[in-house]
Amino acid sequence: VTGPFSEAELASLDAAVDAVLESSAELAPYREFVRWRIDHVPGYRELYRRLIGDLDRRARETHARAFVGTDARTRVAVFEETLAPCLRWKKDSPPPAVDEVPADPVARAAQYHEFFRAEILAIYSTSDALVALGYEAGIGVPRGFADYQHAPQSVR
Amino acid sequence: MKEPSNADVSIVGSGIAGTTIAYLLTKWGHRVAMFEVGPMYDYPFLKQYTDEIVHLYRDPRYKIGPGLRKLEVTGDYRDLEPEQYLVVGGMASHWSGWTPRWLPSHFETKRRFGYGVDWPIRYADIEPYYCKAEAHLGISGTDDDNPFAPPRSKPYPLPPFEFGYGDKVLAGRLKEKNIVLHTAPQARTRAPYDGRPACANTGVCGVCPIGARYAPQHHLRLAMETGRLTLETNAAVRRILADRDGVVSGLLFYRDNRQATESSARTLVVAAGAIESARLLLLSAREGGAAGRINQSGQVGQNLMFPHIWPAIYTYAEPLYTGRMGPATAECHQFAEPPGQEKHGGLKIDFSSNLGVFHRDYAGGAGDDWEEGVPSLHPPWHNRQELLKEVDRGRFQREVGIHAESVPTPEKYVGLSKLVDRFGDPVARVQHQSNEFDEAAKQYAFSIAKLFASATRAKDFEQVQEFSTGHHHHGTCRMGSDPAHAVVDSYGQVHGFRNLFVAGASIFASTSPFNPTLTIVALAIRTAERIHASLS
Repeated sequence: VTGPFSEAELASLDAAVDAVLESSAELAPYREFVRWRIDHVPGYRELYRRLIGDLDRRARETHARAFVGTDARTRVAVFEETLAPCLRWKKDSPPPAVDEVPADPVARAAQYHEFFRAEILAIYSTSDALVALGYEAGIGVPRGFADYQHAPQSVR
Repeated sequence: MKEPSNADVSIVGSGIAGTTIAYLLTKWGHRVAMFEVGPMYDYPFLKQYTDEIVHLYRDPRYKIGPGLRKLEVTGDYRDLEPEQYLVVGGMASHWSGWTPRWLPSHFETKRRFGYGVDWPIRYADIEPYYCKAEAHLGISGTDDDNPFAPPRSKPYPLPPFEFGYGDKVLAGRLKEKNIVLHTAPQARTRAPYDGRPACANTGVCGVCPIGARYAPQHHLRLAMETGRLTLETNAAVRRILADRDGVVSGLLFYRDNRQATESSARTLVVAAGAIESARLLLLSAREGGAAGRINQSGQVGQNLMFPHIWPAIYTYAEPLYTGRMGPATAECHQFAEPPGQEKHGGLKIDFSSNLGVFHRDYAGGAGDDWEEGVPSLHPPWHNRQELLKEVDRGRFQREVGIHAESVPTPEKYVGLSKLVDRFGDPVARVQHQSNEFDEAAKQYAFSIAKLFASATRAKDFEQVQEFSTGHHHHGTCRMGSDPAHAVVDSYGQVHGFRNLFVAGASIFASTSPFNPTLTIVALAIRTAERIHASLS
């Protein structure tokens, strides 16, 4: 459980990242983000392994193939179905910690949401989401002094 | 363990006041020893930026050890503990960078309007130091578009940041109602300055990766390059030692927050923020003897003040968010000296560039209430579509901050708690209870928020019902000419002591609706000059 990720595991993880973003963005920064998590933050390696294991199981059950082998639309569907129980998680209650291994599917999905999907979307919200909405660049990109003085492209 | 120090000046706290003094004194040839309870970040903050913005991670190595930051908080403002940023550079390593000068009236509200406390100095006394502070910090700004700016004897060192798109639109609408929105002076480099690069407008000023937004580490590094500054990090100072009347002899600190060490001191400056500075003075004074005179006025810890900042969220028919998270480019000083000021004080209004939907925990803003490791997100979205809808909504919103004055009362103070820290010393007990003036200021702030909503043609506006302090804690060691009613004189020198000084907003005699940092630095430069003169 604690060893390095294999190429196949990384491919599954990348497919999960893709499912969160629905193929709408350049994936390299997000892939770098999850790899950094694996290497630097205790608990993530195991959590990601559980996630891709659950995604793979569901994909095989419902579509008779590995998660990584499904097409983009199916991937999104499998991902959403796997995390759907998180909507039943008690509001205002933190999900299980990243290094816990909950047996309850609702708690498990809440953990995947918190420590995988919400983090990917948080990165997206300050970067590609702004570009999608008509801004030239996301937060953190040096933009000089001209750009911010004009309306975003979407309203020019 | 006792160890003699060869430093001419010892400084407790490495925030913007302490580092300003340390930098100037080392530049003038004096040796300085600095003590900081927290750890040191790499500077410029590229690593911190990468950790917090790119990787959504807060490195636990940059957090002070357990049992060192606790407070007991009572009254109507409970959010104080996270506001203390106990690291090298202090709160100014993570600040927004607003640097307005205070107005002449802010130094004499009692005489002019009958509320608050007058300072022992006037605007004319501090004006030359405002010029020096602006040069020290590298302030970008202009008064050309601000008819309410106080007199100045020197221009800003750098040109201003132009209005962002949204601010341009808002300024036009306000102008139709005879309200002036003008550019905001800020400690952010519009052009290269003093070894700092020009701002690149990355929009993450809280953790500026290139050092364009001023941080005390800039001058700390220069001071260290002189070879005359030693910096002791993770060093909790617990007592000021005095062996005869009016003379400080040293300090007791815990090296690596473990080993009790007595260090001699020829001149001592306490610059640890309004809460911890007061606590250190109280802990020392209660030992009695010569140190007991530190609180001979009984005023140490009294007169705690926060400006009350009332946020409101405006929603417009068109997108006015400029797409960055840096500080806004516009503010309004028109209501700083309004009719009826005697009842409720004045206001400053600024438009924030924060996109309302981003939770501060992962937006990397000015928040320092960080958990170590991975911050909890709890976002309001479950998929990309929900997120885009939410961010899209944010494009039509602007957050406005209405900054109100406050006044000292007996119900606003810092004392010593029954709770203790890891060394067994009482932690600070902070009590703040708003009074009638604060309530009147709040009602006035709400009325101006409504006026701005209407004048800028907001479709909708939400008035936030809780104030924030902006992490600006004032008073507790206030200055004054009368030793019976003040802790320090106008130079920050503790009454009755020839070699003990306090620096920072703790020595302020009043609040202002304007951000305090430029005034903190101006006073610190004045203190440094006084110490230099005494050493020379």
